[in-house]
Amino acid sequence: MQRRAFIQLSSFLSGGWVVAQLVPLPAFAAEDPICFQPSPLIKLCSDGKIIVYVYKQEMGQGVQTSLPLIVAEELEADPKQVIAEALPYSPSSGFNYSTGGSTSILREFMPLRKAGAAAREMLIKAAANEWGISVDNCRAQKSRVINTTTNQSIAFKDLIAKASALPIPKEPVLKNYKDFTVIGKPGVKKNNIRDIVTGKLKYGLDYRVPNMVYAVIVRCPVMGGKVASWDKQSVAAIEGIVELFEMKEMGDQLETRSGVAIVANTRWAALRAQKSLQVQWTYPAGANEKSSASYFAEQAARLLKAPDMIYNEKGAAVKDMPQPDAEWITASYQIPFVAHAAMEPLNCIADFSNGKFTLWGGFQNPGKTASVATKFFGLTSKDIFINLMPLGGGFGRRLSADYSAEAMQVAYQIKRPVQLMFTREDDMKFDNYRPASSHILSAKLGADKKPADWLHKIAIAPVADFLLGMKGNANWLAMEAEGGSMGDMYYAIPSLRSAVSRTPSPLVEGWWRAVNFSYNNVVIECFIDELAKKAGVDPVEYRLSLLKNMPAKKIKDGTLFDPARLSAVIELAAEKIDWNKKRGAGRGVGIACCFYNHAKAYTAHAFEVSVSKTKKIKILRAVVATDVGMVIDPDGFANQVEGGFVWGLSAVLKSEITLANGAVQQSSFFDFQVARMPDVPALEIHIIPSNAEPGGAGETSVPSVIPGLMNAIAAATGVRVRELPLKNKGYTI
Amino acid sequence: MPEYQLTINGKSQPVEAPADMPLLWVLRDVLDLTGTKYGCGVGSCGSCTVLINGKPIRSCQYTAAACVGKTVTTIEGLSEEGTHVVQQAWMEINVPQCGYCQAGQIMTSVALLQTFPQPTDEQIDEAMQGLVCRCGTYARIKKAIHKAAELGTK
Repeated sequence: MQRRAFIQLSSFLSGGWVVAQLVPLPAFAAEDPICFQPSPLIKLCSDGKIIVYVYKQEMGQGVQTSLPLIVAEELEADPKQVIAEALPYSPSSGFNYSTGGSTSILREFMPLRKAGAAAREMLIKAAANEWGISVDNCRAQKSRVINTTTNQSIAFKDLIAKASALPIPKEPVLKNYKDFTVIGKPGVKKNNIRDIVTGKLKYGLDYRVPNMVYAVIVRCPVMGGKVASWDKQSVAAIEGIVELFEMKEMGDQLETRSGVAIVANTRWAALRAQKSLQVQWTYPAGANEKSSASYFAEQAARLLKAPDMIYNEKGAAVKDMPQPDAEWITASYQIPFVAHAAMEPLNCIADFSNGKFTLWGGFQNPGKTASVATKFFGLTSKDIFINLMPLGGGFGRRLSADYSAEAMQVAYQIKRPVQLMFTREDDMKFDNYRPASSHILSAKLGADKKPADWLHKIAIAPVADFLLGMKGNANWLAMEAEGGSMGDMYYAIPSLRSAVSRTPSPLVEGWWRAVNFSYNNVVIECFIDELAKKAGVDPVEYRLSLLKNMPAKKIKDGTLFDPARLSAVIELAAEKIDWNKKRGAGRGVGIACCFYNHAKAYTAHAFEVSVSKTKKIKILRAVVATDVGMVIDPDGFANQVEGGFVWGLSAVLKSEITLANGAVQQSSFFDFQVARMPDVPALEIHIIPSNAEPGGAGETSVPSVIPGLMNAIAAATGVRVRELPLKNKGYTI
Repeated sequence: MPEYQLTINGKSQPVEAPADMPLLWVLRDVLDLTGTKYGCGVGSCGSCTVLINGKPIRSCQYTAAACVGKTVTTIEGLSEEGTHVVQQAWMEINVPQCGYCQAGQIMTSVALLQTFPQPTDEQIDEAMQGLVCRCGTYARIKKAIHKAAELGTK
């Protein structure tokens, strides 16, 4: 037997499933297992291991648990034998490592099914050849191929050598859903759970490399400010400092700040020096006078002027916009900046030697570091190797490359491996924040009491201004109208305009869990309740009436929206919260829904609350009904839905980032407040069983939490709050 | 640099560390016990919680000097393979998402269960309110504490 293995690279990444080339791996030692890779994403070995290479990043959403289940299903492998490994970063692989938008399962479902099915067919063929029988008399089950005539069986691991020599089927036959035994079944545990509960799992911040030093940076607290001078003597008494130097700003898309780097032999020395180092700054005119109040005032003023861009109900740019008069119903909403505050503060190990970078850390988008950050040094993605580690939370923050770029700059300067860490205070003050936005919603009701005309005015700075280097580009305003006002309004509204105006942000912005839906869907779902009230129609009935008799339609990004599925989650949430029950004074129910088009998910949240005269909120019940199509790992999915609920509760009740004198005021969890255990009631989760294409969970579970709770509070109190977070209006939980 | 005789996870050992270095960094950067996590450094999140003489303590707010003569237990000291009843419960309930805060949550729960072997929801809320989990696994943590209480009495 020839002790060789093959990697067969297929072109399925570019959409097809065609074997492109066969690459022999180097010869193995005699004791090495024989392995074969019918796809770049799976490897089967004669020692029984089945490895699924996961290039989507594990940040708690469970890709390393759920994606292998898809392979196990089609392969007919024992799921316990299927192991996930992070695929090392390779810029030439063609894989999109970027992990966001709740799209991992959505995008990987078919490629992984095909990879598993192809391997299964090859193993069956190898066994059939062994027995001299037709493949029709064989089937695979629990990592074995069974001769259905004789009931003899051969383990997959004993078929590897023979299977690897067979051609890879171009059109493997996928299983029928009805035959699924792995996908959608309960009882799956997170793949790395034992390492988590024993403290063995190494995140980026836990990693060490030989000869490594530690760095922190004193950054300019005001965006656009620069180091004027700094006093080396102010840290002279601290032992262990290796080097101090001024950091260069790294430009568009990276958005690092001016500052001074402190490199030390121990982290503690670096942290002490960061507290002591005296730095003087210069600021652009007026930058250090900006405040949250001044920014919201700027947005309010901007909304009174002609918008930068106007879009119609199909999401097309148009010139005309209605001028609401007294017959229209109008409401203004205000949404603050918020931080991501993942529990693992940002960090990155970088080494620069022999003209190349090596990185270690957790990255949602390693490709951005490779393509953008390397450019700063006159290098390309060929000059970097990135070791991908589990993320202690992402939520969109680690889509940015500022922290890796800074680590690279320090490593480049000192020519030694270095671990750059953001302290929690750095993490809080130098986040890429969810944009702050101001909204004026106006609608005119027709004779049927439904909105006949709709105008949604938004003042915001697009995230793309920063992370895509698109300052001043009006086309990127369209993105900020997504989540209901960019040709993705799911209710039947015959005439709709969204009018977006750019108000340049005093803080760097970034994508945050549920992105634009975390504000647009929120204000739309609150406003729908306001319209229902004016129309004198029950909010559930009102929503259903705006979805009734509507055919399924393609929305702006080409996603098919099925109104019946949205109606179904609204009806289910309403039924489960006992919507029509009579409730006493100070009590109320509220509902909100969301069609999250990026991840093809239909969700409705309903709340029953009581609110005291002192504005103390008690969430008596919380219900979610959700339809995301086929669910791969039900318990992992439920965990995401529970997490999205908590994320939403933080945003509606407590969290905000504020600005004073151009700088962020919050510095840790005592002032950037988030939901904690006593704030979080039980969530009753109702998942609609479905064989529709699987969607996503991480982001889709967030948006309707916020307006759902706001609507319940308005119902209980009769007072509509239109500013987040509610704590600023005196509400507590 | 001062040297301290510390008892960590049942092992007494001399440890050299600056007098003002928080226990958190002594554990992580001097002893390479990285299971204890840095979350905020100011006692506002609880990720760095360890047990000192069985009591839950924020290791970012404690020094090595203060540990002399006391026993320190970190997540690594609970059990090597996850056999401790709280770890078992955590796995059974499938608690974590990213997992970063869970060592602090687990250590706090261990201390809670020593005080209240059968805690009520209110006692759990009270004991756990200082801890932050941004993934939002609070409901599962609560469930797992009840599960650990149940397993502990078997």
